[in-house]
Amino acid sequence: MEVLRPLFHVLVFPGFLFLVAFGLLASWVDRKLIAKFQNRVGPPITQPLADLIKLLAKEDIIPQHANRAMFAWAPLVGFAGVIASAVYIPMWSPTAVNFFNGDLIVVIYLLTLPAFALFLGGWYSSNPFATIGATRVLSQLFGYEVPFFLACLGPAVAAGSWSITEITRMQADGLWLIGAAPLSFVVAMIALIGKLERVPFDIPQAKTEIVTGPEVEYTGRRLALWKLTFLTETIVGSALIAALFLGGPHFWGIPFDQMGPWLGGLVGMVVLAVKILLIVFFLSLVQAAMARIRIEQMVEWSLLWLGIPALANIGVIVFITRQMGA
Amino acid sequence: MPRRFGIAAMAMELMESLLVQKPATVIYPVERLEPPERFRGRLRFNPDECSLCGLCQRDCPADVIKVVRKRVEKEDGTKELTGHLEFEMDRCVFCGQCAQSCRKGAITFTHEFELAQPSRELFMMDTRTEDTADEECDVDEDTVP
Amino acid sequence: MPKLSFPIGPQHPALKEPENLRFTVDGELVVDADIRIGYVHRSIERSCSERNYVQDLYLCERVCGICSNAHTLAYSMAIEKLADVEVPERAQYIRMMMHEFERIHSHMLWLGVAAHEIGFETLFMYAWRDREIIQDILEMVSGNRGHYAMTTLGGVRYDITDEMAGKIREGLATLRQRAEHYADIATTEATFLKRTVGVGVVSGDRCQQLGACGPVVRASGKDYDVRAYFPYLKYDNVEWEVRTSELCDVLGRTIVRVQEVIDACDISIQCLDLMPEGGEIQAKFPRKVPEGEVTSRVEAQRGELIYYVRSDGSDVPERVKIRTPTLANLPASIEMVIGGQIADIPIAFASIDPCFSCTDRMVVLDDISTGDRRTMSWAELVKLGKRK
Repeated sequence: MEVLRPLFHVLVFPGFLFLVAFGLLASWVDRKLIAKFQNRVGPPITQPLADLIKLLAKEDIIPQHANRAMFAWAPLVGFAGVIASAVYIPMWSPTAVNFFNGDLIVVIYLLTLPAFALFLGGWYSSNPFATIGATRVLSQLFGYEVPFFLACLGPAVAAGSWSITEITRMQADGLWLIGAAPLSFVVAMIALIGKLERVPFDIPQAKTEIVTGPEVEYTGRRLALWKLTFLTETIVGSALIAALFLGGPHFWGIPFDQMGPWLGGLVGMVVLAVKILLIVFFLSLVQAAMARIRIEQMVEWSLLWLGIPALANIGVIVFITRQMGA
Repeated sequence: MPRRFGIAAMAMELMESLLVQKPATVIYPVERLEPPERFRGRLRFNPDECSLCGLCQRDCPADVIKVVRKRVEKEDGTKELTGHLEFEMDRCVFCGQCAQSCRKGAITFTHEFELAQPSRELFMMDTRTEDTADEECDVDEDTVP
Repeated sequence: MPKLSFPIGPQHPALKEPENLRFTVDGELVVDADIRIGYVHRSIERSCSERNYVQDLYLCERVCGICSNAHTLAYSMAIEKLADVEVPERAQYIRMMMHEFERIHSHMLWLGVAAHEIGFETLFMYAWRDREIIQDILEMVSGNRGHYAMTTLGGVRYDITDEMAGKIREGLATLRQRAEHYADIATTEATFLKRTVGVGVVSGDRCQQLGACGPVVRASGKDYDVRAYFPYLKYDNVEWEVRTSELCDVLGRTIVRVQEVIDACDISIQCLDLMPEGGEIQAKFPRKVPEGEVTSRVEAQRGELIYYVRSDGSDVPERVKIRTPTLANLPASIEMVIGGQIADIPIAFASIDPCFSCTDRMVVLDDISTGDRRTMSWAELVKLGKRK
């Protein structure tokens, strides 16, 4: 019996099924919003599910010169990383399914797996477009990964812990950490755009330049896996930012203590869902308003304008906590 | 279409379009969009006006028209020129030169645009056997000047 | 990483028409580029010599879908010069209006396509939405959204009624306002500037050396515009000015084209005002055109379009030769991409507004070593096509 509970958490909630379902919903919100910003109508709510079913029904082809093992397993590794990391993020109450001191580092590590998997899948596809796209994935990783980590470090230092659950619990008392680390919040949001490979940072998947980059040789089920990886990474990344900066499933005035565990959990989930959708709204707004920039412009700009504010914010937090503690 | 700028106005437009706006789709074939007045749809030929001069055949860039002339002997011994026109409508590019070249205005264009046929032979418009003066379509008497 | 060679085209999301570009890249830097055209060759010039002048009008219109009116205009002007027929004044103004409408339509299309190349989908959607204004005007006047068949030998086919004139004024006023908004975006939006400033740079003198024309050469500081240098229709009667830019890069070409849209709106309104009331719109045209040869040139949307027609006195032309602006701009476009980044290839190439339907012509080969001139027969062409 002991093995069923973790299996349930990984496969159903808050794991695979929940993330896929919520990911499809968030994808619809994203596409509808972008369409409205562009003065169009946008797809109906069943569209992302229909796209997924269509992809699953297509033939799965592995190119002749590609490395079969790498090509076949790369999408699974990326997807697995995202699903595994969902277990450590508080989804319905300030306590996650599993937590320990240091799980923030583990989550950030697991969330870089999709990018590395994309690189490997593209590199071993034996297609010049995929090769160029794969190198761009790594170059872009330099740009956003360090600022993202530094930005997540801000709330960790403020809360004095390496565990996401501790950080969220600390915010449940009243002050959301966005107040203590506003610069880190902005940096984390922008770095998330790079992580999810959306405009203006969708350079590895530039449609008009290198025809979808590393994913170009994938079709059928494996392409569906890539799409799902980035859909679920949207949810998990947004949930991480919500947990670290926006208090996770907490909102002032809601009497969580008086509700039972089931009702409290449901309300907490709804609160978190609203926050995630607000972050998705921000992501869609940025996508509609900007053009795609070049890779060297992206790396230069990110290291300068994302790295330094994140560091500065950490410095300020350290200084203030020292003053308060001393 | 955003008519006003400014954050508040745009937010209002967004809300309105998310909640109230109907889809832009025209439910064809129940609803139809009307082509503009000068649209060149299906060709209409009026054999009563035609003088069998053949200018339309000479000027058609796609070789659609073929004028078939016959000299028939009448009872009183004189000969009369009759004939008919054949239109291979699958070659037609709807440029309108035939209507312009015709001095009698025998060729006009209607507003019919649903012209698909299951086989090539059905595109042949033979003005002896086919009822080309179609009453159902938009009767537009203004010919191409 | 060793040098990588990859193709863009003939099938590629960046291209609207097929051509084969081969790039050699070192990392992200483009080291060498080569272009092969000919995928859309339809032997139009040869077909023109087998049809009479009236049929050729429609054949030349179908050289290209976007610059169709420029082709018929240049063709009609050439034949009218040969036959010494004068086009009535009202028809000339209507021809001028169609010319400018098509320019607006083409530049709005280009703006959307260029925005799509740099990933700016929103500008693409907005530009094509506003392009519908001019498409509705064109459909109202001619009955068709492309291949208008408005130009005939000796005049125009349809007249513009007062009601249409009112709708045209309204539509152009809205379009002018939107075009000014796009000019604003092009010069102030940060990500747009990041992708277009300093990209695809060709200096003015180099452009002239390579024979570029149209907005490409005007964005590099030279003010060559056929409408100013060799005025046709009524361009010396209306007030307008040649738009140039000193920037020499993609941003300069964007600004020149959007400015031309604004100018085209103004010129069309002036035409509506200056048009004589009533009057003929088509002159009588002879069947057989007298012997002779003539060249006509117009400022098509992409640059200078030249038609050469030689007549032998019958009603079938002996030779029609078409020199399209994209062919002249191609060497400049190769210069633009070499030395840049891979990411700049689509936008730099698209900034010359390539139209490959126009471009593909037959080539007569000159052997440099022996000086022989040789045309290839059909059998030789087939063999060349099969050879790898």
